[in-house]
Amino acid sequence: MSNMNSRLNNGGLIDRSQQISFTFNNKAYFGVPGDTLASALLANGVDLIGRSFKLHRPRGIMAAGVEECNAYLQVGSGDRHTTNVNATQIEIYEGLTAKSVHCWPSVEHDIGALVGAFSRLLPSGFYYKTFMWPAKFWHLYEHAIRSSAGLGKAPETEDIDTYEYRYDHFDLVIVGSGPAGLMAARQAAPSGANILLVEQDFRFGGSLLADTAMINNQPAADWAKHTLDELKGFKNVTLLPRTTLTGYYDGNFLTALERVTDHLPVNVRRSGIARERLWKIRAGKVILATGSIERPLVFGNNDRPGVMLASGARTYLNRYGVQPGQKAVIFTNNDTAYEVATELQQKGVTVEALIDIRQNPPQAMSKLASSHNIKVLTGCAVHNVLGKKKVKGVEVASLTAQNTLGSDNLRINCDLVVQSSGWTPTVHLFSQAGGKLLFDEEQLCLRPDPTTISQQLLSVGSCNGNFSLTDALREGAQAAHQALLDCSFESTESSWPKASESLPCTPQALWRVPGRKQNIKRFVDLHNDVSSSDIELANREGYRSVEHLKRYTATGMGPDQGRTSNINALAILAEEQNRSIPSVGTTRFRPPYTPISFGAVAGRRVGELFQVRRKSSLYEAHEEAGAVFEPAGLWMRPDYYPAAGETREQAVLRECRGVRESVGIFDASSLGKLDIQGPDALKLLNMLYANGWNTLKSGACRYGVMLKEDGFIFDDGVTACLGENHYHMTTTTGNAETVYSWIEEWLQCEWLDWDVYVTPVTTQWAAISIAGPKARDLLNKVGTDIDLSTEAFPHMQFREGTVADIPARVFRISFTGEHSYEINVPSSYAPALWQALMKAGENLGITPFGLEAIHRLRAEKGYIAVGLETDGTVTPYDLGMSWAVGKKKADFLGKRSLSLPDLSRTGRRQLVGLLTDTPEYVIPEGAQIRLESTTQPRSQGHVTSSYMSSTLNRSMALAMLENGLERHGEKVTLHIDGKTVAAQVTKPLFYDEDGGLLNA
Amino acid sequence: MLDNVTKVIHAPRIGAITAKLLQQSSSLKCIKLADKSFRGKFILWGNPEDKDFSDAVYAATGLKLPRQSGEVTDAGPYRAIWANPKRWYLICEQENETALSEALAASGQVHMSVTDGQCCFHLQGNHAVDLLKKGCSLNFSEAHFAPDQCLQTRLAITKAFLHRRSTNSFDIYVERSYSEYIWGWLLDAAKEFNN
Repeated sequence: MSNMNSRLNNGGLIDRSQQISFTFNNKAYFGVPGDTLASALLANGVDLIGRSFKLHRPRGIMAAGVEECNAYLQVGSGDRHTTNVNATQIEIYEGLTAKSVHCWPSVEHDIGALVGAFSRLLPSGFYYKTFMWPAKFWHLYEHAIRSSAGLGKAPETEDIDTYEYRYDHFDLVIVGSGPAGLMAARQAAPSGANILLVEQDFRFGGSLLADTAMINNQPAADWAKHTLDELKGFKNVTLLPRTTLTGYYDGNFLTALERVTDHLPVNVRRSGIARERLWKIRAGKVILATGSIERPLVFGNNDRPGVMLASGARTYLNRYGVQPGQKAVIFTNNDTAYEVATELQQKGVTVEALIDIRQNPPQAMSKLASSHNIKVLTGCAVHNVLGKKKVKGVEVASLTAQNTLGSDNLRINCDLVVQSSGWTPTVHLFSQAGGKLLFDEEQLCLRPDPTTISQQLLSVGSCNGNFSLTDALREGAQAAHQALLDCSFESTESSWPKASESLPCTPQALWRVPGRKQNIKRFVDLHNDVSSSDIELANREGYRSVEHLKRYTATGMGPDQGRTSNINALAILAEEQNRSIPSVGTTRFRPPYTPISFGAVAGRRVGELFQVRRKSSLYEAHEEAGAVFEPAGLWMRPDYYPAAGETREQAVLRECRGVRESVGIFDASSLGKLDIQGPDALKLLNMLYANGWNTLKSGACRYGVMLKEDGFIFDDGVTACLGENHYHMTTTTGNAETVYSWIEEWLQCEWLDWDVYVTPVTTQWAAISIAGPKARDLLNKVGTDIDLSTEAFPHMQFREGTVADIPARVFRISFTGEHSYEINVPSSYAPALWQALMKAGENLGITPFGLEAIHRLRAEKGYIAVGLETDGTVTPYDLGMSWAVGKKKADFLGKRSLSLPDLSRTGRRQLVGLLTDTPEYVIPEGAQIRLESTTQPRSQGHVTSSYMSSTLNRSMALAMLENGLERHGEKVTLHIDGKTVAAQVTKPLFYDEDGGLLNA
Repeated sequence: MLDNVTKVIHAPRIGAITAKLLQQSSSLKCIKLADKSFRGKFILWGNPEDKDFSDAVYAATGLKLPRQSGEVTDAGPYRAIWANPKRWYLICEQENETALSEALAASGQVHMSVTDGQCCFHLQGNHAVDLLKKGCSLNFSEAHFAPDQCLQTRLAITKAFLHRRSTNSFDIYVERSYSEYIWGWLLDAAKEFNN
């Protein structure tokens, strides 16, 4: 346990009356409500937070907000383990556990830090250059590199939390609740528009929470609270804290990540509440009030724990009541740090000196400093920070007119270095929205160019490059007024409160403080361990484009996304190339602004809800029969029904025998079904199918193949004529939606005047197929009012009647080669029909059979399966199905393509049967048939379907073979896993060649 | 049922939602979810510009068919939902299904039963909109989606018709083979409102 030895006795937006216990690196600490993990650690005097990514250098807390680039920690453990969480953004809660990353065995004593000793040998590109050769050793290198690289540890157990989406629509979305955002919301609220105010912090107010300025004669934080209380009174305003707007897409579509439960003790997180909610928002108008981020300076050992941004120091002091150090040195190139220096001094931190690189800072600044007894050194720079795991002091030297170091050297002891190099507008969302940026020569930053944005957005306040408090309030109010008018809402004239005057920033550029020694690192991107020498090296090696620089050095990558480093890196690259910063350009900001968990992206689509499993109404009947299911498209279909102790193969062979010898029962419900009606129905069928339909009489069925415009088969099935201008079309299971869309496309785009109505009825009708020599007996036994005699109801006919007293459509069609009926009943009656058939079939040896059995049975008959025998490059002629092409038809989809020379040339692969010389050997599907006759052997065909057949008592296969139709009887060889297999080419028909069984 | 079959069927009829899932939904507190799948549902096709068609439908059912996306009309026990410029869903309670089937047959217009192919769930409760917003990107503001409108949309990852009966109650029509998924999804998403 530790005392909160850096906590001030009063001040700040925290509640000192309560304590919250938490652990960091297994050591117990206390914080208070209102603390972030970072502020609580600082309050407890914890300086060393982690180790750096590549060089394992000791790192502390540098900032107080989203821009923090060192304090990425692992929070929680086991099934609630989150890695790379920014300590400045986590509210502490009772029982929080956090650990440092990139260190072993501890953050204090890290073996990996030895790497740092060789840092000169590890410049950017080191891994690329070093581990290229010899290539065969890569697997040795890989293990070592992977174990030392990466950001944090991935969780090893399943995440226990749930995640979800939230879709919503708002007239106005305001991003950020600092002065500009709050003011915009307050101006817009009375209009009645549907408004969303998004704030990434757990507290609304943004920079106002740490600002000592006055608004309307009250402290800024009080004004923020007062304004927020007013907003809570408006029902049309949704206030969303703990939410980061992460992405801005076309059409004012936004994504925002709400951290719903991360701030709650684990034991009070209610089940059913998602941990994170990913908002997907359509916004009429967006006001970006995302603020700005302070830039660090680039100087020697600027990464030591205790080197902090001025804005960070100010926030810890004023918002969290924490002294970030005892003795501070301020290092700046602008005015705003003076104010922070005075606040530090006032609250008990001794400011040893203020180092300003400017020779002549404004007089007002000098006066401000002297009035607080702060010693100012102008025209000087901190060129080195002393100390390793904690700042011990700085070395200061004067700057010459050429920005080189003078020969003097002043050492100042301190434990805190507060730095400021000006402000960078947070333009990420503006950039994501498609806007371009301008370089502001005065403020040395990139700011939005509003003329380049086509989306409905307005940037206001410091994210727009206007840094004064009054500007922020004014722009917020004016933008809200404009946004409301644009959205046709009434708006009162914009007004804003009076604010105390802000200090101007006016930074002077010094992108790199010169170093005295080469081995002293000057970091640009602390998150990725990129120093100024890495950027210089990259430029020397030819990575002159900013995009190449980024990828070669990793500057601006990772969770931090270069929030503090981008401008400095650009500027150094520009200096190296003697170019201006605008001419070097900038990388494009991409979503997400801050990291999003995979859980939030997946939302509710995990586990059972990952994907729809379509089930026929017979699913439970199959479960009761012990079916093993197989996904077929989205459908879950029985693959086979094993009896006790049976293997899959044994079950399938038994099922096949059951069909061939008595009767089998099969659930065909998932086959696509389309109801086609209207005077032009026949015309439609004739266009969709390659074969002719004019002669199909009412009550008859016909098989047809559908071609795409390219002449290749894309689906097949049986269509029945139910009556005049009324047809029932079936498609394959997997193509049901595709065929329907295909038909609709033609009807909606090409044949608009056709009077025909197509309705998908796949799930309206359950289909039970009974197949086998005893199928007719079964149907008679279960009871039907349909005359089943061959004369009255021959093969390929359809009848309507009742089966087991259930109204039914019965199709005498077969996919097994057996005498067969497909009984269609409304889905909710199918379980009753299945049960009745099973009962009636008990004495007939009825056998439920699944997908695998039906595939073997149809292959014995040489019936094609779309997707096996066809692959999008197969014509009906290739399959020996010229009978399925209406040669005399005037037109059908794909007709023209069938006459292309390539589709009728010799040498095309054509459907054949294959019987191996070894009857018990089953060829793997996909095996290639090798052509031996040339000097360069090549494939001349491939196996499409291959099974052990219980009917033939041997294996059999279907294959696509060059000129196969003319090669029946030939011997071919297949090369499979280094072995040669000989087989005879046959016609693709192994059972009931004359169709006698079908027609019986 | 078949398009025009009026014979009484004695065989048991099985709903799309399993007993287990129905049981789970009975424990919901702030949300009510009920299976109304045996409601009669028909698809009607025709050209609304054709007066003969409109008159025939009106004479048979009393319905004036809606002409705009989202529109719903009612006449006695029957309801018509706009599905596309030439297509409507006709809905009735289970006990009126035979009568509606006969009326449609008598009208001589293109129609078919989808009672067994489409399920209907009724969702009700103060959090109904919050629940739907977890999986549906429609704008639920009543200015955009008013009570008694019915919109075709995507719920979770499936197609659905949402008929807003009032501010906080909806009829949800989904295809039968997707219904178990949607029911399970709604139960899961409703857990938040169950404490």
